[in-house]
Amino acid sequence: MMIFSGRWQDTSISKKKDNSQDFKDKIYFIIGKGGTGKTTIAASLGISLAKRGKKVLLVSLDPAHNLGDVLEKKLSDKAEKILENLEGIEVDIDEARDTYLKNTMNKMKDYYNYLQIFNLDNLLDIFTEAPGIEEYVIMELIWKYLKMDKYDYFIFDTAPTGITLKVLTLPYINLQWIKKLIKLRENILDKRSSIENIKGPSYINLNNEKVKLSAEKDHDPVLKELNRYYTRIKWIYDIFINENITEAIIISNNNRLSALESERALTKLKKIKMSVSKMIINKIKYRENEKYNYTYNNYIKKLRDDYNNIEWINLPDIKVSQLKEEHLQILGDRLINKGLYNKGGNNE
Amino acid sequence: MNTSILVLIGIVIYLVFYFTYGRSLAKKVVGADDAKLTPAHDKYDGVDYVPAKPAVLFGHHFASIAGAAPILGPALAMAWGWWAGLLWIWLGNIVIGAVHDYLAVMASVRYEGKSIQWIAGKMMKKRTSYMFQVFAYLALVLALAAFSTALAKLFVANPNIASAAAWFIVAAIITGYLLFKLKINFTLGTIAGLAMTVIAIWLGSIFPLNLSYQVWMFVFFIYMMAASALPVWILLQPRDYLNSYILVFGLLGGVLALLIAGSNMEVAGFTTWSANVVSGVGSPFWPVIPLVIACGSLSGIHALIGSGTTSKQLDKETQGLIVGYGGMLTEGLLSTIVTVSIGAFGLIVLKDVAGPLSEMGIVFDKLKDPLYFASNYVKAIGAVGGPLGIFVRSYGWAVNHAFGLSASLGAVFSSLWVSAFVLTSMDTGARVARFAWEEVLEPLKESSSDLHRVLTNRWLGSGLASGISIVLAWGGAYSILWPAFGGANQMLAAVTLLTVALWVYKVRKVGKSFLWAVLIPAGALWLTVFAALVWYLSAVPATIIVKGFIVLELILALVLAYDFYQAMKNKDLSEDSSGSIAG
Amino acid sequence: MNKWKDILTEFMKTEATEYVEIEVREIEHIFALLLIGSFTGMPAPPAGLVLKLLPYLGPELLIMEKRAVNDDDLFGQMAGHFDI
Repeated sequence: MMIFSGRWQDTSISKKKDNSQDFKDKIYFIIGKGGTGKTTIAASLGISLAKRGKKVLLVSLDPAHNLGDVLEKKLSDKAEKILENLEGIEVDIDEARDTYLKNTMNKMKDYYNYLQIFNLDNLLDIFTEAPGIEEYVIMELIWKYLKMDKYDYFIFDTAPTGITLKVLTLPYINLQWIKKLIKLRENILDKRSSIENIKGPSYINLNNEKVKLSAEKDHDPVLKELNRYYTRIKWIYDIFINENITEAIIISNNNRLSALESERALTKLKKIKMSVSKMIINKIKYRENEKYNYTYNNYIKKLRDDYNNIEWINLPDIKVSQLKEEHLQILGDRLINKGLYNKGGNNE
Repeated sequence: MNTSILVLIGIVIYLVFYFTYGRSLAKKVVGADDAKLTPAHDKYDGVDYVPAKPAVLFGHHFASIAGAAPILGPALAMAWGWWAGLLWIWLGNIVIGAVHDYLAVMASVRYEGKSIQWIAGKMMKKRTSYMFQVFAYLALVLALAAFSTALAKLFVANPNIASAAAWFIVAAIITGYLLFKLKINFTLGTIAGLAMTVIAIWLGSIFPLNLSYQVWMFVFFIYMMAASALPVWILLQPRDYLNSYILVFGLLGGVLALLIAGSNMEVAGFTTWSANVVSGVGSPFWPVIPLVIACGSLSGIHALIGSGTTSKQLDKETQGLIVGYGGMLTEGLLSTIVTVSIGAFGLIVLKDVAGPLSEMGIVFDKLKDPLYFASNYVKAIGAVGGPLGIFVRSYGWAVNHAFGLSASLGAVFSSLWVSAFVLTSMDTGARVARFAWEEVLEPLKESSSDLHRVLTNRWLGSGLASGISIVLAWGGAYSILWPAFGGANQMLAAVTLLTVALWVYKVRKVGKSFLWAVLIPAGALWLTVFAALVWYLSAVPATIIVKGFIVLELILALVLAYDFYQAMKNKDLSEDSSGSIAG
Repeated sequence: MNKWKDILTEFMKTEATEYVEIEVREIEHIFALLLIGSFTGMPAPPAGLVLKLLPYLGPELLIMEKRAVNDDDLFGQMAGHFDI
């Protein structure tokens, strides 16, 4: 059965083409457990790059926003200038979700002005609580920012690891689903058009109004939307797996829980083929006057052995409140000079 | 007595009863009223509930109920003589069969297009609905088995027919590709398809296909499994479409041929009461005849079709008569053609194989004697390909006598029609069986869900149905399997008739005299089938599987009678708990 | 005469598409199920995708709703297409 449907069906999915070739910017995802120092590191990276003349957008996806605190600047969901070349955003997920839901409802109203099958208000409530909505909204926001031309670098200070990983795996999962749905939809349209060829167009009675069942691939809004979404997701997916563009930087502390969480992140990211460039062990307690003036927690040690092809960086425990802009810049420079460019990409 | 007169009598009887008996059923029992909205309008959705033009609906309904069954049965029943067969085909049809079909459609119309199975559950007990399911499943499996063996026998004895059927499949596949993939103009595609059909017939005569019976069994098994898994546009749809043309031409051609030919009936009108119909055993005309002649006179499966799709497409209530009652009468006409052609030309056909017959121990000349005929007919037709074989060859002679066309051409033409219908029945049957199997297993879901999951695997579902059918058919005893199918089929009809009797009595609340019009056939049918099944158990050397089915049917029949009796006694039925119209 | 020709044509067109119509209804139903299935506990595409497509899925959702309503009579519906 597959033979017949596969060979003779003209699917509109472009197969191997890498859609990321046109994207000339770079993206960093700063990932880690809460409290490990993500925001500080993200900020320092941002400042350092900005000082070097790169146009940077710093985005906090963490609902518990710290970015504004670290930078000592009030941030909002619109880009605010922090320094020359550096702008910052703290996303408002709830507001974004409400906007997307409202847009959907309005579209439905436009499309079916007699749509009383659904009680629209109830539907809104369902979707607010639906699993997966939050990840979807964050992904849409990421896409929105990546589309902004004025920036060269995007640094994302992420939400707690769990949800971040869900967001980052979204393109990968979505692609499989969308391909299946597109195939099904094309099958439906193909059969409808063969019926139409014989009997003429089919109608369905939606609440006493005759609606024509779409049968042409070019005129079916569902297929169009599926393809549109597929293109967008593929674009994001290709960018995410392109190690010249996207790097994930994992921030861990020197303890067991951090290590375990980092390991989960490493596994997941490997599965979706996102490149992890650095493991930063932050807030290490250095001991004075000792030969080996720090030791890794055992779990961290094991992690380093397993993933020894990533760059490992140790950072000391510094009181955040003491960090001023110049400190952050030094930190950022240190991170950059420690081989930020060793995988190609924009060279200074 | 000749063919023209008989066909004429048949047509007249049907017409008279249609306009008198049928009309009064519509008026007095159903109260057909065009002012009442049918579900096609009430629940119109453009998908399942769409009003259709009455002629189109009639055609569709008829094409669905007509298949190979109205041919197989009468061909076998010939052992009793053609008057015997015609009696049942004419009287049984107008008094029981067409009433059954018509009321099934109308009851469904009054119940928002729900199926008879659903209505049975409401009228009697929930288990009645389940029982219906079981009968339907058994009927399906047995039908597949009976058809498999009959078709295989036809193919073995007529290799050119087998070949034509195979080429016809090729033609259908190509047509399907043209119409549904390339989407060429419908008229062009149709013409191409019909042209290829003609070529298929020609190719069949050039390259006969000689396979053994066992190989055909294997082929059919694969066919049932594979065809029911394919998308429909590849084979099922185009073949069924092309076959509608063959059906129409075949029926019209047959009627005309017999009217024009005016040949004398050679076979005896009545042979004997207990002819050797079932499995070479003396079979009493009553109660066995309904088991042998099902479609064409009375068939429970028609209720599935009538209440499954037809009722949802009925435009006006009064049109139900032509579709339901008229449809069944038309099928009766088809069976009349079968009986009359074999009655007139069957002996000519058998004369051709006098040699092989004597090898089987049958002396051709003795066949003119009614008693000898009664004992040896069923065995004799094995030499020409069984019941299907005797029919297609007789049809060929009819066409030859009337129009001067080649007899073998007529035979191949009608064989295409027969084999295509059998193949379609196998295909759709395997699909529906898969579904029916799941419904039958429904009770298991609660008690042991793991077992349920294993058993409802889809390959198991269709594999089981196909497998059992082939196992049953392996022995090649269509004379055993066909009546077994008839038993399950007529039990189905009994459930339907009892259900509509209840509907007429409790809900419609018609006068006594009209109630009897439904109740008497219902009761008579139940009694007859019960008696026939008991006789079958005692007299027929069937396999354990078939006997098992029969025992199951008998038990369920008793439960059915009990539930019916209870439902009759029960006072409050007219207020339907589902809140549907049911008026 | 024309009327008969029309009727015949319409009859033939019905015969030519009956099974394909049933099949496409089934696939439409599956399609709708896949999308909405998340609300019934089936693994389903992320809610975001469903949201995007929802405005255009009126017909499919209607079909699904009808299926749900006729759930107690599915065999009856299916068996209606059996040819014997």
